[in-house]
Amino acid sequence: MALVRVISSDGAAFLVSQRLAKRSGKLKTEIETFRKSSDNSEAQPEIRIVTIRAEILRLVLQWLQQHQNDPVLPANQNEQDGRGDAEMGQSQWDRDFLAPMDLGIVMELILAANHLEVKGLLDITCKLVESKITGRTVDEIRTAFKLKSDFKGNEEEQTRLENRWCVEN
Amino acid sequence: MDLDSETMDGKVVNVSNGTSDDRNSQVQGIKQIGYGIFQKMTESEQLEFLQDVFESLNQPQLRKAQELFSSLLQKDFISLLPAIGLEDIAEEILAYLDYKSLCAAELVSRQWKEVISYSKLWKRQIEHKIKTDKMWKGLLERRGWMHVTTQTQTENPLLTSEFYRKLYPKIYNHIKTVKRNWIEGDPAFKIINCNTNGESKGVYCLQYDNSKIISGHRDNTIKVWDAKSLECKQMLTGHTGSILSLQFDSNILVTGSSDSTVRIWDLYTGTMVTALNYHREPVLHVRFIGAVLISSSKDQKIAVWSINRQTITASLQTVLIGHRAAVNAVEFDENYIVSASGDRTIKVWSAKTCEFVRTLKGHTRGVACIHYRGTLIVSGSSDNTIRLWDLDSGGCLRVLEGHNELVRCIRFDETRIISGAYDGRIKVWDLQAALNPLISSNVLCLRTLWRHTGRVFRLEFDDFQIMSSSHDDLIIIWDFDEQGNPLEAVHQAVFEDSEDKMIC
Repeated sequence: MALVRVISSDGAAFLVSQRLAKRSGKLKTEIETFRKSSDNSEAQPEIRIVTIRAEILRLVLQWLQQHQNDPVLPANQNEQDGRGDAEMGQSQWDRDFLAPMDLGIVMELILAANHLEVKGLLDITCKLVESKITGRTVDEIRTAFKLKSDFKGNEEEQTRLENRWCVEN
Repeated sequence: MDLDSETMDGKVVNVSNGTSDDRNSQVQGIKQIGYGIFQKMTESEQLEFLQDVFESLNQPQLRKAQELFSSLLQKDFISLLPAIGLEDIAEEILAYLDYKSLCAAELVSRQWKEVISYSKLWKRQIEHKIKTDKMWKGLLERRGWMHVTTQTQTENPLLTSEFYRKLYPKIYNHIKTVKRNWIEGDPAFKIINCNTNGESKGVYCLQYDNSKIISGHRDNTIKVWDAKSLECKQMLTGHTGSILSLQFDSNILVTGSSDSTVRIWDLYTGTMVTALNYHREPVLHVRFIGAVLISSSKDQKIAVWSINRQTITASLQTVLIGHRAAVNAVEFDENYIVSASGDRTIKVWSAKTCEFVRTLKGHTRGVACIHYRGTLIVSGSSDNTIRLWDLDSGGCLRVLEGHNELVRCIRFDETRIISGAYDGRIKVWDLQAALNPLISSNVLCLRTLWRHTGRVFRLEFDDFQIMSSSHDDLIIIWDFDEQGNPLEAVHQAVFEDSEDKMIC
């Protein structure tokens, strides 16, 4: 089985099958680039991901492994199709996978999924964040995201007036 | 009780006692004053001030501050993502929010508002609405505004994020008003008087689309009217009897006449192409879908024709025989053909095999009109009632009483049934309530519209208007659409300071 070494920003190395790694658009390109530039077709590619730390990279690889037999979603899926596929495909495993994460980790995972071009993971993580906003009041959203209002003067009142139409019956 | 007072005493003593507490409250006070001053500074002054503060910190303090920052920054990814060039992801996260959540999200902080207001999110909300809400689609089509979703900002610089953010509530409110107008507003009237020589003749049938209205008259003519100017653009002649029924699509017009013929007209050339002779008596109703045409006649027969859309000819396929009086109306889809007759019955036939399926009995006099869709049949009768039927079981679901004369025409969509009667009245009924057996019959009629001075022969409607034709020679357009132009209003609001007043 052909393997590839994927190294995180903090130097942790993960040895994974190329078949699995290629389910990430980014790693697939990197492996192919390595193949072209290497004389020895048997050589084991090594890919350094400078923007993703070990904890996050492990999560991405773990998710890929669980979903290794899913159809690969195109990275630039037509906007109009929305996230229907992700919604249907979101399994109990995905829910358990995401459940213990705080929003900071989810954020890093979104960035990692985006960077590594793993559409399915990007979809479920975006959807998780979206669910922290949907149907909530302003104060509830601020609490969930640990944010404070930083509106100046009457800016908040102004915006509230502009958006009054949606709270009136 | 004792315990309570002890505890309270204890607290009081503690606060007034220790020197460290004095200091604490002093620090609190200073903090409050300091924070007050900080709040009054401009953003750049605040940053300058913070820089001074940071420079005064020692290494361990700085490290602690760094941790604090990264955790603060990370939590607010909606603001962070655009800052690092990933606004697409921020939009992706927010793209599937409903409008209420999006409004709430705008109020979270300045950055959130900025991210949402300057994104394509409101445009996407509008696009989504057009796909899922037929009133939104209908309004934009009706007003000729579909370009707001098809054009890009490069093509039309007026289509900014701000434009969409302002447009959404305008359309939302506009549609809310239209819905209210159906219940309690006074519709605006547009009237086409078809009476040309002082002799009342009558308009038996009509159909409209966004550009034209076609009407069939008792004086053997068919007239094509411009939907905007309401001027007669064209008159089609050829029938030697009244035009009793008509239907058109983008290419052809089919008419049924008291001269016993069905005729097919080429809408592009405005000429009659085919006359179908089968019926021995007046053709009371015609309906076609694609290549299938069905006509019903006073001769008690229903004829099923196959149309060749290329040559605009048609050949008789089969004849449905069973009714014992005139077949006043016929409706069909890919599953069933449903016919209404003067013999007081409605008959259901298979559209695939043309075999008889069942008879619906209940009306105590002839059935004058019918509309059928899905599994629901709605019929109007000479017994002055309207009946709702379940096609599958053949059972009568509801009897609507209210008209005082023969119910001559009936249409329904998913929210309302609209009926027209020989006493000139048009009634609007609440369909969903009528389908709910728990709701009392006396609240089902939402309103009665009365302006025709003769029998109402035919009506069609959509979410914004009813169009009716009558024996009084008038076509009345009952317009529930709110007057005014939300799109123009938004353009003016967005560009009121600019010279550019172009209206797209």
